[in-house]
Amino acid sequence: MEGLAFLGKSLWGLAGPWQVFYALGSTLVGIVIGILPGLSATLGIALMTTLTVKMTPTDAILVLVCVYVGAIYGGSRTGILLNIPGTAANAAATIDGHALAKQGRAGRAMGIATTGSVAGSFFGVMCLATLTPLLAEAALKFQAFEFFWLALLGVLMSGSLTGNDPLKGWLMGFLGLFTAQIGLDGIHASERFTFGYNDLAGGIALIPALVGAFGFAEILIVLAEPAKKAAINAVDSILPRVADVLKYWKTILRSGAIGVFIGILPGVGEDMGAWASYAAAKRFSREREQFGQGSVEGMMAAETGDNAAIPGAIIPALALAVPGSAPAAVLMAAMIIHGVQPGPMLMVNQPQFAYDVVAITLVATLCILFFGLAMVRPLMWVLRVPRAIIMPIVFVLCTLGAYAIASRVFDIWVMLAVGVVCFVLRRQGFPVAPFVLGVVLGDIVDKSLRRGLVISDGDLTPFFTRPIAGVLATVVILTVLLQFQAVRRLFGRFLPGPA
Amino acid sequence: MARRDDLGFGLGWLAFGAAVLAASWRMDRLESLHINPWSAPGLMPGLLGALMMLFGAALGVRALAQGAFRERGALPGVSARRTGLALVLCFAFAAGLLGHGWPFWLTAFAFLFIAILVFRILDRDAESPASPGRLTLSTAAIAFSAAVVISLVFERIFLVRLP
Repeated sequence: MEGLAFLGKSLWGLAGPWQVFYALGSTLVGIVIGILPGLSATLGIALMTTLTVKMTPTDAILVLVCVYVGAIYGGSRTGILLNIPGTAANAAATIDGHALAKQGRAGRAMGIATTGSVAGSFFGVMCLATLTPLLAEAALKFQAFEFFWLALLGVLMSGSLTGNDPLKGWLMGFLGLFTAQIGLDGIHASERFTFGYNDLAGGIALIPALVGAFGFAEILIVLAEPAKKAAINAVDSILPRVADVLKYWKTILRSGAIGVFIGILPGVGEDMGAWASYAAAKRFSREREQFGQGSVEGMMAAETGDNAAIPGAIIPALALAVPGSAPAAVLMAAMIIHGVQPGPMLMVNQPQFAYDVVAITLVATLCILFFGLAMVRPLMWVLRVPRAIIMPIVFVLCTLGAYAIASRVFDIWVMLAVGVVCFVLRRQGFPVAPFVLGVVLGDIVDKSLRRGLVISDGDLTPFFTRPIAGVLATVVILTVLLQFQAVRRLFGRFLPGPA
Repeated sequence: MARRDDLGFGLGWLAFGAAVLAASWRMDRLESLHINPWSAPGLMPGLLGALMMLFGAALGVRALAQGAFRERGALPGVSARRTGLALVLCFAFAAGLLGHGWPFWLTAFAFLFIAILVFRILDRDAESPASPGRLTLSTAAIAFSAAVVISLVFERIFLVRLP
């Protein structure tokens, strides 16, 4: 009952005219960011963090969550119409969405995207409201040993699952963790890797690094390739259908549950939520042969899964200070910038804020439903703007976004340097998401390891023998070992295979 | 080419990891402050350096095992000319023009006009054809509008001090 009272107060607080304006405006910005290929939810949140610095924490998080939800939703448009996923989370929906568009049913596909996104978000919001307090309460028992493994698990899982090559993903994760070590250390305020430069003593700021990794690097990648002519055609009805919800309710519930679960896993993200939901829907479907050929069920599953993963990814960010995805990592960093300290103590010190986030995610869901009903055709105009015009404008925004938080020209240099490094590495198949998780979690990993060792006086056994730490350590070690074929073969001998 | 690149990058990670490890080893251990030695600032970076060395070496060894040296060199997939142009323009704006006392809207306009015009000309096959004069005029209008709107929004609405 106490939770409902908090939630009611949060919803009332979001009913003001400015809050409605912020919610609608930022969801629209998010949808446009999602529609534009190359611009990701992570970049959108990072840029908007700069603009929301002077807002109250709740208003700022309202803007950022609306951009997050809007971007993941908007990305399906580009997948349906151009066969290019607007964000990585929309890749699974693109398979059947574009197949439907080729059959002249692009409007129908967009309607399904709206239905799936709204259903997934609603399901996720319910889980966010119920699971966050439970997880935070359980995490009150965590000490440095558990936080060390949990944060490391986030970086390694992100490395394993976000790219095609876990080895490259882990290396990027370590690079991110290393980047977070630059500057004054968090325990003794001793300088690390500053080489006598005062600017480096302040550390590599998160927002300029993220804008470089997701903004400048992406701009270079997009501009490096010649443009292709866009083929846009959506003449049929774009309205979401209640009949779809009734027909595929089992798929929606299953995909919602999978999306939330994948979202909660540290560092995994919305794209895996979509793929896992799509694979499960295909496995249990009666119309399996239609998957890949324009299956309504397949598209519904993918869109429900990726949108359910958004609240799922926010759950560990709030309750454990370990984000479930790269965009959630930036959201968590924005909370810290606004003076909110996520983690197990959040439900003790600022329970109202946790319910504010639940209410905000609910409002963002209503906003995508509004835009899904009212603004589909005008928003498709965005796809007609040539990228030769969009990308230089985005670069100016990236430069300002990097500079504005601290008004330091040094941060522009950080953005440029990180952008070039990430551009080169991405061309070689090194994924960027683990780098982001590493930068965000580097401080927790470092402090938790050293605090744990100080508590145990250098004894490593508590890292493995405490019950929760032991489980997390096993998962971390298996996450790495199971990527090696020899280890998988060894496990295969002990596990029963198919007859 | 991918395996050969992996070999090169594996060696790069190995060298970078070694540099991080060496710098961490030489980092001040704050013994004069009598801190607990397990809280020394270089501990975590040193571990990360060692891990980057290990996984970098694994990347290189895997590339060798997959025949990195047997692979023939191929042209890179990226258009080097387009990448070079984008890099030069972006660096000229962000590192060359900004922070030298010029009004932000003017530097943004100059960058946007040149960058948009250059890439519209390079992408003209994908756009509807336009005469050179019309292309230049429309680009100038877009660049001017974008520069002024961005400057006003950041400075007046979000109260950001522009570089």
